[in-house]
Amino acid sequence: MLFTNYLLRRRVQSSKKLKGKELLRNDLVQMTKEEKVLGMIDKRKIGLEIGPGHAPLAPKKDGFNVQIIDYMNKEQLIKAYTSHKGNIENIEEVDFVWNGQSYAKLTGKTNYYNWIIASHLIEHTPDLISFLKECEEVLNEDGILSLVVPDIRYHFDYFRPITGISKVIDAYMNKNTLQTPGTVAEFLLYLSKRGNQVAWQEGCKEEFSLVHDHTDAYNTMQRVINYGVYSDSHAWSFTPTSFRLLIQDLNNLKFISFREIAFFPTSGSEFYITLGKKGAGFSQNRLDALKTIKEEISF
Amino acid sequence: MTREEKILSRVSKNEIGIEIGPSHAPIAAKRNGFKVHIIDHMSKEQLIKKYTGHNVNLDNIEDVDFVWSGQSYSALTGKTNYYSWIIASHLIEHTPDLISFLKQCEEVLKEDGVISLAIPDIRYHFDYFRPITGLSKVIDAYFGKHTIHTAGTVAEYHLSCALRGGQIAWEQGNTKELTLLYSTEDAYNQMQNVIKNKEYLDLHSWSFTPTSFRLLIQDLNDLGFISLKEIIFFPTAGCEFYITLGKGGTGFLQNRLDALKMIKAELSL
Repeated sequence: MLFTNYLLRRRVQSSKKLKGKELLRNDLVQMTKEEKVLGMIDKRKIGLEIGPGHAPLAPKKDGFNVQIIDYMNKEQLIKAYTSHKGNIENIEEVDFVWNGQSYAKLTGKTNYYNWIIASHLIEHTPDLISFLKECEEVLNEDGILSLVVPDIRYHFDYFRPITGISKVIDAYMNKNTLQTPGTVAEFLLYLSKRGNQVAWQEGCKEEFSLVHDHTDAYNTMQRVINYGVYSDSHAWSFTPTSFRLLIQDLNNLKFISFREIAFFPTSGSEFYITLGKKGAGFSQNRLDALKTIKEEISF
Repeated sequence: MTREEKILSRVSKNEIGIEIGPSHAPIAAKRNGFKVHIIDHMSKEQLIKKYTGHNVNLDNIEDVDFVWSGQSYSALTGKTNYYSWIIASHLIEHTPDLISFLKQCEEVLKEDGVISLAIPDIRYHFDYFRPITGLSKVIDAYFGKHTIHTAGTVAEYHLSCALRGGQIAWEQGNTKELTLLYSTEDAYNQMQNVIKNKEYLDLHSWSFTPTSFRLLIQDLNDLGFISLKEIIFFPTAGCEFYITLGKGGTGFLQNRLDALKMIKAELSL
């Protein structure tokens, strides 16, 4: 039994015994990001980390039996991050350089991996459902997907509408592989900073500013329309509950097999969720969940 | 001001105009002296049949000049650069492609023509729990040349459709209980209906707060999609707000950041 796994279970079990919401909250605050992301993962069993860049959460040097998928090889990543003040010593050997193909094609494996980690990745996928289905395909029946997702309330998507299921379903039906002209326009026109930061914490009161004008949005949108370029953007923006409900709705509508296994509320600007085919699911009734989302965006 | 005064504030009843989709509640009725052509999705006789037994005044149903079946308004009316005004009440939120709807209106309107819209406010009707419409979906529906509601829209509508105190629309301050109208199975079945049979289901594709709509129109103009700009706006009364657009409008002049903050405030209820 992994120590982190043990620690997580112990803490979650002890949390359940506590009645007060604040005590639960304090208990969760004590958990590190690694505990939340890795809690359900057995490092000795083979897994994937997708898009770690310069900040892997399951590095080989820490003993993880991991294969790395990224959009560049190690040398290219080092070059890319050298100018960005990233810690280039943390950059992993890249096992599979992704170029748009499905993860099953890329790795040559199906029903094989025990876990996948993807931090700050899902919000960039042009087709969220296909991303999840591709993960399902390479995972074995007990396999899990551990996601770190930015919370719309605490990063540059702040002013965007939260993602509705309509856009998610339509991106799947359209087989989107690029960010759409609409997504690119919305992403740029709504992109904001708070006190010059692209992400912030609950309670931050610094001034907002918008980063782009209509000319930027128009020009980038035209490049997408005319040349079919991939313009890296957030396609999706969530509150914790809007994401949890989306996953449950997509499962209920038979798009995905995944269900929620574990969830950790927002800390800093991100929340943590682990999905699996054998998850118990997000069991809150839909009306209560919708009310919670309204509260989350009312601030 | 009455509802009629707000909607008609830039409409000259002596100049030729169009009312789109008035059904049993025309705002610019011929009998009241309006020089108007009526566009609807059925003939007068069919509308009378449809609304019989619905507790509405059938006498108000107008003669329908053009029965619409998907064609552009210029193809339907045979006119471009011709009409002085268009009225569309509770219509724009049903359009599968909002930009094309506005462009078709532009096409049949004269240079100084106006379009007057009454629009439900997301805070006070059954779309309450839906996310407000973002620019991305509006632009992508235009590039996708949507003529029916997408599978996603149909699923989202059914998954979110809510009643308050049993009503589909309500006024500010109403705190009666909210309930959901449909089950996930309903949403699944309706969505499959669209995917397999390409059926047109009449429902809301778009949901707005007053400021989110005003900003959307201004953004679409600034991005070169439409020529229309805001001429005059009246805030929400009951469950709807009112806005008149025209090619000669001055536009929504609020700076974008302030407008975005207003939208956040509108949704913080």
